[in-house]
Amino acid sequence: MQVSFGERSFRVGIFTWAVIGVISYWILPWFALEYGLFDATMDEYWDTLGWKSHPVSMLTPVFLLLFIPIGWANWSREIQGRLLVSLALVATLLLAVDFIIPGRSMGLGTGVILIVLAALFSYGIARLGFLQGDIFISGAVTVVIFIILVFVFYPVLQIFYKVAVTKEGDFAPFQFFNIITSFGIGRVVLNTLLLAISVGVATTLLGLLFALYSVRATSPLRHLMRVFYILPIITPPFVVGMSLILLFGRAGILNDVLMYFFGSGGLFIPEGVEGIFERSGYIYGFRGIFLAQVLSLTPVSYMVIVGMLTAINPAMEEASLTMRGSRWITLKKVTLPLLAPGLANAFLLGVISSAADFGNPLVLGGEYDVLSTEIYFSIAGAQLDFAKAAALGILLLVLSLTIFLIQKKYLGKKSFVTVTGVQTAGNVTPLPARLQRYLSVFVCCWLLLIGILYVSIFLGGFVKQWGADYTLTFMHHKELWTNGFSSGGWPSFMNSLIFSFIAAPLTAILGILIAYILTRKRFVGHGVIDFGTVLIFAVPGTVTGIAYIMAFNTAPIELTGTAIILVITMIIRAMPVGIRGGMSALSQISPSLEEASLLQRAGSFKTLRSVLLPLLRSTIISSTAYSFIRSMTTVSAVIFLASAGTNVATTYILSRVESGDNGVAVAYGSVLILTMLAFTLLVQAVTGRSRIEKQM
Amino acid sequence: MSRNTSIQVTLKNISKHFGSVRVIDNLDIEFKAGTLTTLLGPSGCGKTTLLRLVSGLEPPTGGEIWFGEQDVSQFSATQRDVGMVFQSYALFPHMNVEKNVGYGLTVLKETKEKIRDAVSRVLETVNLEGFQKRYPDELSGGQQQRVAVARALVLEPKVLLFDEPLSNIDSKLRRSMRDDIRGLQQKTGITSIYVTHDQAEALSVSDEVVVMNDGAIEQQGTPRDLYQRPNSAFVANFIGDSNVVDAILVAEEEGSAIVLGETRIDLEKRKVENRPGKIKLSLRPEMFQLRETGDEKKHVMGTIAHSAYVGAVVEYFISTPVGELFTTAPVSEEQYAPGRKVFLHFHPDELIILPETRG
Amino acid sequence: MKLRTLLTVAGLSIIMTTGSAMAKGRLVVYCSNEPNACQTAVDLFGKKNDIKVQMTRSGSGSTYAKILAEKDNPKGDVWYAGTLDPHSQAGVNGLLEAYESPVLPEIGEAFKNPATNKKHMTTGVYAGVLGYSVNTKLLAEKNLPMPQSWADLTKPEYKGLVQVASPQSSGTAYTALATLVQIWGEDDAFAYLAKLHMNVGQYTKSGSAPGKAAARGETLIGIGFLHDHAKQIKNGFPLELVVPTEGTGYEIGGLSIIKGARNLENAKKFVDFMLSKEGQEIGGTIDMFQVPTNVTAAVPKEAIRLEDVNLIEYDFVKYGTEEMRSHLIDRWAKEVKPLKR
Repeated sequence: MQVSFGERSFRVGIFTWAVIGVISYWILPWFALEYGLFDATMDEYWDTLGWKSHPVSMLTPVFLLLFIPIGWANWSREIQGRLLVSLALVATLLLAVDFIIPGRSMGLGTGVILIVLAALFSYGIARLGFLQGDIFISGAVTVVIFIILVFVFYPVLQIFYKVAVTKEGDFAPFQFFNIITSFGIGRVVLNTLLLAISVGVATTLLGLLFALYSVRATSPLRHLMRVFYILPIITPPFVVGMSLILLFGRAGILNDVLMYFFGSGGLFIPEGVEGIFERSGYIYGFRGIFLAQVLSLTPVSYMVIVGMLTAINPAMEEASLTMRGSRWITLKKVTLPLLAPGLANAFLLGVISSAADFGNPLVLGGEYDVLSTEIYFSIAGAQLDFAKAAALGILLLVLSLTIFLIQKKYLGKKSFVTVTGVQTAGNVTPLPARLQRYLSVFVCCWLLLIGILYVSIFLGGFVKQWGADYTLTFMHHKELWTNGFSSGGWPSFMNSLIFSFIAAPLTAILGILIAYILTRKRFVGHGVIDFGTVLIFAVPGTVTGIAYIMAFNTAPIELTGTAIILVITMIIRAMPVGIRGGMSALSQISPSLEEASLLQRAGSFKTLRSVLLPLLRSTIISSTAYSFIRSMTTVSAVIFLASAGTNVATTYILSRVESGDNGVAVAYGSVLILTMLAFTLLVQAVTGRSRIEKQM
Repeated sequence: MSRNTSIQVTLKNISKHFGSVRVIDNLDIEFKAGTLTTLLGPSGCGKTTLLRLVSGLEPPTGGEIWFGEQDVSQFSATQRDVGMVFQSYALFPHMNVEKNVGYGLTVLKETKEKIRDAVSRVLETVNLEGFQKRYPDELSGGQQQRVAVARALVLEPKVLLFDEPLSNIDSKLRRSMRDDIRGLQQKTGITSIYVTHDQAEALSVSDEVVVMNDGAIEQQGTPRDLYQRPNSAFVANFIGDSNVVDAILVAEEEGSAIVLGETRIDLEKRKVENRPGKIKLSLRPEMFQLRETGDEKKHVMGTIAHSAYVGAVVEYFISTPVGELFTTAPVSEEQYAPGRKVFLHFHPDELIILPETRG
Repeated sequence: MKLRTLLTVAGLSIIMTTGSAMAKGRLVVYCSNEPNACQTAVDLFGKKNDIKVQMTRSGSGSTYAKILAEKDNPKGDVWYAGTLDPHSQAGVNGLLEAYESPVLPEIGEAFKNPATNKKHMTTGVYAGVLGYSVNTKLLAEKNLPMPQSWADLTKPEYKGLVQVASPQSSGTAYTALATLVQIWGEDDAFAYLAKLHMNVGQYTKSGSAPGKAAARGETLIGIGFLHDHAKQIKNGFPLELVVPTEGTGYEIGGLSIIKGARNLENAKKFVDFMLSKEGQEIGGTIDMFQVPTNVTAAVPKEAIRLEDVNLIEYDFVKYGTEEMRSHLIDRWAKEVKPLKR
């Protein structure tokens, strides 16, 4: 019987995958290497091979080879499909049992075999007519669901599991309530909410003012607002907090200056008279975190509101003006109400980001405990209290998820501003003159403050000891960069670069794949992916961190301390960028292009490659670049997962902050910022447009 | 690889539900081999969904799709061997005309020479020779449309599908384009299905028209059939203009008659299948002649409510005992001012009596 | 795409394996000392013995918790540094392996077998004196007298100017708490802590933070182990170390082998090395100013000599038990921490 093209590629596909599985069984570790794959010696490697040390595992190649005849047999599609699916499921189940029962950890080879089984499973469901028999998309869906189950659902479930067992492993269903009602927790929750809401209000208000100014003012100063796009992207979140200490700490510049003039023995204070000023540590606690978060989060709300503002049809404001509405009245009665959903959105974003922020409370918190730092100290301090960390994690997760769902439900679609894509005629209405004058002054002050902050970061790396000894020195940079590649700042810097370099393209591709599957395909299991992405968007970094520690610290999937877990964390943490980028790009590509390709006999893989990818190229580049930057600057989740060998730039800086070496920390921070700035400018030069800016 | 045998497309008991919305429910339809059949209906009637079911882009909720003797229900769009011209043309913006048209051939891994030849041959049939190196954004709407047709034809599919292919083209060009499509289809003999909501386009381009409404077929037939013998008020209204009015059918020994308000019209020898009693009539605007004089017993009498000059004809809205009737009269004829009393003359054979089961 | 990733991973692993695969053995050290001290000790030991050492650094509390969590499948071999109490606790809970090093005769009497269960599971590897340091620049600015005793710290003029870690998160702070209880008895000590609370500007999470804050002028007075603070003086900060006149406690840095260590022989070698004269003198070379426990080792000149100061008879056994620990910490958390100031 003649074999059709599709039939042949089906058989070849099954054969190839099965063979890959068998080969990796023979040459890749079955068990995890105790000291990591990268550090293994030949002997240790040898001992982890399944056929060498674990005879039962010999069943695996037998199972894998069984797939080949099923693929080649001339059975009906239905029988073939069912056999493939059940064989893959049984093999996966046996594999899992083989590791879970004795409590051993899977090796790289087992990981590959799981991927192979997933692929063979997709061949099976494709045979059964899933997604109209499209093997590539079936495979992609299987892989995405697999990733979501293992790296999103499973860790989150682990949090819920850990809160229900005691340290000794006994079941304790009410432990959660005992913990959250225990002494001090209420205070922490209240602190978090108070901070988050204040920051939300402040950033929204400031964002609105700046947005109005940059879109509607006629002053040339508004072009300076561009820094709003770049700075928050390239600055690790806690660096703002660090610079605030340099400026406003007890030994900061401001205190020094005021002491110089008004302190005892100061310039304006007569000899022998008590000074009217004393140093104070006002920056630690609520004030400091608030200021740091407002500084670093205002740009986000600014961008949300600017997007909304530029989308308003000028004709509406012009209509108001023709009806004798002054600029003030137009602003109040027309523009602001039109912006309302944008403002609400900016507010919620501010609240979520503040509650999830970890770096600034860590650096500036003092005794002002918030959920994210409290989670960290429950397992990084003197006590390793997983149950408490889990309970607090659940509180933070619930808070963040609630806000996210509110946002998605009520603001996702509701928008008074219609985006038609048609360039609307008419000019934007400028701001009332007086408002513009006040705003100009305010913007100047704000930009000046930001300028001073950044200058202090760069200078801080070049003075001996900020606050005590302002002698210029290269000692911090020398300590970091001139002691060889295996000490100082290099190992963590290289780790950051390598991990981010691996994570970024995977993030972009996976993001586009998920966006594609979510927007273009309908199938059973769609809801799983949809909910998975909601979690990816809503789970705060700190929660991801503890969840991963709980989920991947022991058999069967033991990844803590490895580079892999950091790369995975970076991928999952930057995934929203990838998905959002993919979604917005796909929404501009008509589905009929893909359909046209499908009707030209092209399979979905060919369609993706020849039609979609070329059209998405700039999205992929900018997604990759932005994921790279995010991975380089991320801290909240990786701080739980980085170990001595896999320290990254941000965790290294934080550890130096913790041990009081602020000079080294800011020196490193400024190098990191400069690296990111150079990278951003390079990408912008390459892509021609500032696409990264657009993707925020 | 040329194929001269056309195939019939048959949908058996086909359904398509989106969640709880039943867009198409248990529908049977045949598209005869080698013909061009138009799916005509208002937007939202399910005609595009039906087209996509045939193409394989949309899997059916239930039922079977047959191409000739082969059940293709389980085949994906890639395997079905259909060509499609999209409403938006769906030309790949990053490929030039040659690459666009030759795309399917590269998928089949044909040699470069073969692809070049096939592309230039098919571009010739759509009168676009020499445009190989142009990009879609360098082409006019009509040219883009023809590239889309060429692309759909190049693989010599068993079935050719058109999804409102002319809706983005201005009305003057549309007329010649639909003639081109008609000519092309007759030349190739590929069984074609054509979706449109424009009845003039449907009538001029097709061998058969399927009028759809609410996911169901109202009527299938040749354009002439549908115009002259609509079997429902919906079809009568949708194909051409029509005045649908109530009337009473009386059966007498010498033949049937219709009572239309105060007028009684003898049908003489014309056969009527309806049972006596209340019936509905479809009166085409062009069947009337307006006269100042007439017999109230034989002709419907009315008063001009208002009129509009639209170029070639004048449109009249006339108040009559059976309701307001719409008709047109050539500008060359006498003009009637609003308020004038007129008689509507017509030939009894031109009365369309709608079947009782429908409408 | 998957294949390419795989190749990348494989390629990276080859790059990273070369050069390290030749070592003779392995050792996994859990280190609770300062990062720099951990790294130097581990590097030196590894190079000397041609052993590939992996080091994980975290505070003594979380290291204890980690060892407890891993007790069925221990990953670490040896636990270096950190205050004695968690070491003791681990010994009591059967998480450690007994070992009497051949170097033991050179170790000072108090440090040979200090842990609660007296089964030679832990050896003292250094000692550190508790006290506080004062930022002299700030002191001059504020025109305040230099405090001399624990009692001085409760004077109203130091309001908001004292920093100490929270005993809930810091072993250092617990040592301070236990010291005060041993000086005055429990109730008086808590009365004192309540008064001190009024002057505390901030309870830090980490035990070494107050000394650093004092050095940088973020606080006037920082309570902690003075060897941490001595390092800041060496770095040029205006600090003065104060050993309170009422007497003070001290810490012993523990060194223990983890039960079930997979590289037991290397762990023993590491213990021997860290107790030897050479190992004990590492601290001086990298500005770590704890007092060596090996009597033959040279004491850095910046370090405070045990014989020079008024040390109390710190009862490591009594105050090292988990019951006493949680009793004192709970009492502090309930009676002192919530007080309004």
